[in-house]
Amino acid sequence: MSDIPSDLLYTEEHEYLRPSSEDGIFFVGITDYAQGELGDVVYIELPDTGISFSKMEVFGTIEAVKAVSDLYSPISGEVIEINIALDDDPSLVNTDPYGDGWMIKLRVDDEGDLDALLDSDRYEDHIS
Amino acid sequence: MSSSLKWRVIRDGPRTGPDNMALDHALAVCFRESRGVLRLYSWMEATVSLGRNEPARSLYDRSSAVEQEIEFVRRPTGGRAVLHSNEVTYAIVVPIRALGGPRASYIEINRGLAEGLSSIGAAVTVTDHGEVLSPDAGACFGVPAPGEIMVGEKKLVGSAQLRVGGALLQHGSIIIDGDQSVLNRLTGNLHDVVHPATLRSVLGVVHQDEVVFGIIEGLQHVLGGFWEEGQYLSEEREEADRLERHRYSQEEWTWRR
Repeated sequence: MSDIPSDLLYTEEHEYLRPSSEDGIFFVGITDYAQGELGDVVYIELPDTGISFSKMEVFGTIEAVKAVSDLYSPISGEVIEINIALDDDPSLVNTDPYGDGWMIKLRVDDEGDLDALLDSDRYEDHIS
Repeated sequence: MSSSLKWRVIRDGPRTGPDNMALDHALAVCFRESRGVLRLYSWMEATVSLGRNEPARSLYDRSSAVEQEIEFVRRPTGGRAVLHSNEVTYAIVVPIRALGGPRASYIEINRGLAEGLSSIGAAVTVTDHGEVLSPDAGACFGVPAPGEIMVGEKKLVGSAQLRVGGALLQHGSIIIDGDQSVLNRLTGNLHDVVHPATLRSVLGVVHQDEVVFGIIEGLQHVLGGFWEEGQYLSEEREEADRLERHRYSQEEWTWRR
């Protein structure tokens, strides 16, 4: 059974958006369901800070036991920080996907776009 | 699970590394719902394919590779280096959930390959154990991952995957004959010498056509669905041309890490 916290927003491509303590800034990562599907993560390629992505644009890749997958930006925004801890320990995505396994911090262009994301109930329906 | 897929089998000939990687990638980019593609091909020249995220820039003796007429290309898929020469290479593209997700797909496809190889007399097994290795852990054939095709304790087929959009690409090498230890020499013997199984060592005389036929039969039986021979679609050729020009023939892609 996958963990689906109720206070996050989700995409059908299994990324999540978690609010930070700063207005308009969100943590982005992949869901517990996604990490379980992928298996042991061995490498994550993340963008430089300062780069902006449109909604659904590829912002990086994740490799798990020889399978490479694109990572999609859940929403339009600018990358203001990346999780450098994943360089040394990409398995954080497996062990703590919603916490230490976050990937990028995104300054969202338009918070109105958040309405298009899935809440936890709809994401649960999506993966069931 | 995949019995409703309509499969197109493309029997291709030898091509360059950039051509081969561009075509595999293009098939995934241009995938269609309810359709599967099996491409079988070979290599025009001996080529080392690097995993998408494998560190390589400072590891390989490129002048020695030139002397030995070995080319390099970087794959779209994960995993580690493979030396392609005398082999049958396969690529399968399916809708991402058609075979049950990346790991389930890996096992299903490998079951089909194993059945095909068994049908031509190779006593292969699909391993249920293996190691989780990072992209910098040495050659692909060095250590098996779970679900891989083995002869005894040696790996016979090296495979890797890419998920792009709604498609899953899995491609891999079925070695007929050759010496993967060349890879070790090109890296100054950084890693342990690798001697994977080869079909020649298992079967003696091997004909490429026989391997191709067995693979198609095995995959048909395990994956089900409707199968027919086909060719590339025009949009696949166009996408492959674009990818070959802008990515796979580019030094900056090949030596990106």
